[in-house]
Amino acid sequence: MAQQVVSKKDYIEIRKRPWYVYVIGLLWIGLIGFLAQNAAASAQELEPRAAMVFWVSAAVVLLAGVVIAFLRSRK
Amino acid sequence: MLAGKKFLGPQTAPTPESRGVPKWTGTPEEASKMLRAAMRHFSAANCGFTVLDENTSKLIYSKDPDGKELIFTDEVKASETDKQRFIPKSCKCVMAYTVQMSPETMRRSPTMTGGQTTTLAYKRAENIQASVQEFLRGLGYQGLGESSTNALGIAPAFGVLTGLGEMSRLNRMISPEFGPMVRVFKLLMDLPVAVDKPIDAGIMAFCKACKKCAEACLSQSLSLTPSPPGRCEARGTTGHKAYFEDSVSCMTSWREKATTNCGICFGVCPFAKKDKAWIHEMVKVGMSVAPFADSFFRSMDDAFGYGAQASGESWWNLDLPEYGIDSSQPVGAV
Ligand code: B12
Ligand code: SF4
Ligand code: SF4
Repeated sequence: MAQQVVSKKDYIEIRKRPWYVYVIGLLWIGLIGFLAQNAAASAQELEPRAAMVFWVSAAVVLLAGVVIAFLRSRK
Repeated sequence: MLAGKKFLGPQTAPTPESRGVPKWTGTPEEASKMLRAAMRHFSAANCGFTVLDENTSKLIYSKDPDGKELIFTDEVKASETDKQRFIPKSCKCVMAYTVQMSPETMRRSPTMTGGQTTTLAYKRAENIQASVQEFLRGLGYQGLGESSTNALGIAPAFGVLTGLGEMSRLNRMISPEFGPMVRVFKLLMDLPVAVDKPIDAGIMAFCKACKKCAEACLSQSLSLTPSPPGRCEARGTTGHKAYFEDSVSCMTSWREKATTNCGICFGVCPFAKKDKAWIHEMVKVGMSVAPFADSFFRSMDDAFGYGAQASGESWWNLDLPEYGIDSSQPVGAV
């Protein structure tokens, strides 16, 4: 039986995210919160169209953030 | 409280004299503060103060709607006869106050549901006037009110002079807190108060770019000129900055088209919306510091569906607070 030589080294690379990624993350959460507040408050104000526009915008921003985060993580 | 408007008030509250105590005394600042608290308690939206001088006395009508002449006198006590009402020159402090109207009924103009918005606010104003007149009497002072709804003087003018709001394309007052959704009233007093100043919250400047009310009007009664002309050709009124309306065509359309009173122009105004969403505050700040963006704000207002008229029928399905108004709205001056 041939002897197996272990010559390969395995590395775990830990990459620190740059500071601006955290800032963008916070802004993203803030924007979703802002849009959601306006959506919920517009419903209370009995302004259905405004509520819908804000809910849709909140959903789009949320989804966009998730997709970007996913694509970045795969890189 | 006692309903019905009277120039001299209900005159039933015990006076300091009758109680054998001195009348209330305090600084003008204390008096204003006390009245603001009392007025909010009586259900006024806000109140402000000014004094009658040679100029502002012109805003007091020469005759009340019942035909009685309004006369300034050197007497100390106000009085009235069959033909005249006497206003002591000492009653030179003016309190203007606002009473909220339900935006949800007003945006249903012109229907009966929309029409009663006015009546309901007037009924509440009757109680407020009687309450404050009695309150002042109890303190040892006089409060001279409207002898009937809308008597005594030009309400929006006093509203503006006391800093409650700004004039607008509606040729009416818009307040920063409630927009046009307030009726305005006035009372003369001999209680010295600290006076307020007119405000500039960018409202009239916004009207230059907006024109939403004028476009929505049934009878094209509102002015579409970019800037306030300052002179009304039809009535010959001059001397103050205003977008004058064609009041004859407005009133005619109430009779012929609407068959009730109207307020479409009030309902569609961007300032008429309620103040729960944070975006509104941001827009208000934006329009006061960046008037160049006013047309953008107006377009956004349309895009978000604000000011859209609603059907009278749908009102019955709404779950609304008392009187259909939000009484928790804070006001700048208080
Ligand atoms: C007569 C009257 C009408 C008439 C004619 C209006 C007119 N301009 O003459 C008609 C029937 C058209 C009318 C309609 C409405 N009215 Co109206 N009306 C009045 C009333 C009883 C008298 C106004 C008056 O004296 N006009 C004659 C001269 C003065 O008019 P003018 O030269 O055009 O001047 C106007 C402005 O430029 C300003 N003004 C005049 N002099 C000065 C001076 C200064 C220094 C300033 C700053 C302003 C100012 O005040 C006048 C207001 O109409 C007042 C109550 C009152 N006592 O003030 C309510 C009043 C003005 N109406 C009111 C309302 C709400 C309405 C309607 C929405 C109807 C409704 N559903 O309630 C519509 C709005 C129509 C519109 N956008 O134009 C409210 C306005 C509240 C506010 N936020 O300002 C008032 C104050 C009643 C109240 N107690 O609240 N109205
Ligand atoms: S009350 Fe009606 S008719 Fe009169 S100006 Fe306003 S929208 Fe026009
Ligand atoms: S609708 Fe527009 S133009 Fe008319 S009073 Fe309101 S802000 Fe001014």
